Amino acid sequence: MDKYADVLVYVTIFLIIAVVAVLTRRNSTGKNYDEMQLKIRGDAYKYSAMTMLLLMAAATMAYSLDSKAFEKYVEPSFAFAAVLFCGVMVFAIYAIVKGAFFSIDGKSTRYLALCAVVVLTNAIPMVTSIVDGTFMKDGVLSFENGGSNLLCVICFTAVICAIIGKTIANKKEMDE
Amino acid sequence: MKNLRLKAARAAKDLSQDELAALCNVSRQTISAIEKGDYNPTINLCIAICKALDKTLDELFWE
Repeated sequence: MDKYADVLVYVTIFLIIAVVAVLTRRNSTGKNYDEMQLKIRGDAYKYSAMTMLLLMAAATMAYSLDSKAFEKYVEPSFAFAAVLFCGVMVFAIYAIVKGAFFSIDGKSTRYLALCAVVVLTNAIPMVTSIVDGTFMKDGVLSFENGGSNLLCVICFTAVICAIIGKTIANKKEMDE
Repeated sequence: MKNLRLKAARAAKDLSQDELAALCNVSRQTISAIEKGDYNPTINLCIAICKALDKTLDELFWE
């Protein structure tokens, strides 16, 4: 019975995402990204994929050569999740810096607020777990304990910094 | 290479980068990149810019 309940939850989540995606597409007017932005986003995807491939290869090699040495400090689950987050960061920061992250009439303030909420919602449990001493299990950093929160905080803080930096640079450029 | 002719034509029409971008349905960054010579626009965008500034392709983009 529990199995069916799990499946029902996943199906409901999928349906909600599908409905939101369809409604968003229907309400969108005109084109979202111009030709230069599409080119830059393509480059960003390429650099992101390359980063993930290289880091994934490095992590796999490190763990296969001497897994015990690394597992003393970091669990493989955290290392491989960190690789994925690095890929996301490379894409987001490259696109933001080159002015292709937001659509033509996209406003960065909404994204800033969303990122700030994500940072806060992850920073609070992270700090709590550090205070409780449950952030690491036997001195090992894992994705399940505090690792996921740590990665989210680092990733979204970097994105917030990139957005703020780009906004300042844009203002300077417009003043010139 | 910087496209100073585009910048001059835009200034002559008293348009900001934002306003020209809106007329051409692109982002301000794209207009800025074209003026700085960081991006080579497609012929469609060149035509849109020329129409917005009442110029010919030769006047704005031909060497």
